[in-house]
Amino acid sequence: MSRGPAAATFDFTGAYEEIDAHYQERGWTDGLPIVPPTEARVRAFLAETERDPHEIIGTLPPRQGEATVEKIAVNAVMAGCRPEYFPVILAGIEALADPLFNLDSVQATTHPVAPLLVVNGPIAREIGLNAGYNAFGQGVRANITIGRAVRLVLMNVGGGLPGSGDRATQGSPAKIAYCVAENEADSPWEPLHVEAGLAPDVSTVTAFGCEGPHNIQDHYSNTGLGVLHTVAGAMGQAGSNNLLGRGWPLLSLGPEHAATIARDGFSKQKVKQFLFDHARFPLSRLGAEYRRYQVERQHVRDADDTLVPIVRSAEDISVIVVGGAGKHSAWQPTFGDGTRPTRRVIARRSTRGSAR
Amino acid sequence: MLEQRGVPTATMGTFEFEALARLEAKNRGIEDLPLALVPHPLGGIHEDEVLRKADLAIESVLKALTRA
Repeated sequence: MSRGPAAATFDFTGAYEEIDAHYQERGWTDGLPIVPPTEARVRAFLAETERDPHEIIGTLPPRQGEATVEKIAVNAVMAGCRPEYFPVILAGIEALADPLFNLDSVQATTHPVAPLLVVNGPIAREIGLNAGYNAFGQGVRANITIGRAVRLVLMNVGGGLPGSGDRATQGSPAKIAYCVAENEADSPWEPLHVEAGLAPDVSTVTAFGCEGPHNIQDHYSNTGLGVLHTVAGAMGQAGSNNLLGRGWPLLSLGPEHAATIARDGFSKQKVKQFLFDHARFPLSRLGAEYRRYQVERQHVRDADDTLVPIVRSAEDISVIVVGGAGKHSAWQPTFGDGTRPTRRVIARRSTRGSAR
Repeated sequence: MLEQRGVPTATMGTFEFEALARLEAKNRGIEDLPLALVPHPLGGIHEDEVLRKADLAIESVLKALTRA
């Protein structure tokens, strides 16, 4: 285990406004006010893990900052988290530090990529993560503050500061907070972590380097095939990095669309195969330079009837079920082939929780 | 990294991202990484502009690759 130095501490005598101003002036926030990370509050978070406070969970680019358990706890307090969220955040940062996620590029790129944490297993219910209505939106403390904690770690430890270490051309509101639980209860299929071979009662976090959710509305199709054609049409669009360089995109089906698709005999694997075959953009509709790029660099057949895929194979698409009632789904275009989904099991204290 | 193995390199980019490149090089312990920089942007330009920028960069590329 590599260990990092203890976090610096300092004394304040003033009121909350003075403390917050101190953090704002130094750029130690995402723009929102912070919860002061007092020693007592940080200790309450550290009590939620068996890991050593000085253990380095990951070295985060571009600053190559050492994300110790303690520094992550400090940022989680600042974000407004409750202590019981802490194991999710630790596992999330560990997933982002996995070389396959390629945080170097995710942090610095001009692309509006944000790390989405998808939480599976019993911890999601225990800490009250929203998987239903408006799950990608506002309203639930766990989703918003876990997402914000991750962003504060990427800024304050990793140095992903807009205009210097983070060069996103426009950015995205998804970069403020982006954490969701899969709606396992309303999914007709096995959840994401079970699909990967883990037991249902294990809790996991899966990180995707992706855009904000791109809505897919279909109120008119009564069949799974009909819904899937709409989904494929939305995913096979020209502007995504997945059309540019393929990669590992995410489909977040609403429970009603998922139910219709599953009722008509589609397993998750069949959904992925359908999307590999149909979520494509006609080469003939690309401009001359982009068409030449697809032919010369991505080796697609140079013909007007060529349909350009967004993935190299069906299994590169991930499918989850998220949301409440209604005929809406979403897909998350990812940072092309510049990032891969990564997953970590959420370690629970042996004295608490029901998962282990 | 190639430089640390003694292989001369010239990392190309634009002045727009010079500060980011130097920051990342410094944080990885290769502060003197040779950069060959041209005016921004590199994308969305016509071939004559590409050639003009290549002319601007050639000196710094040669210097980076042939330095003692």
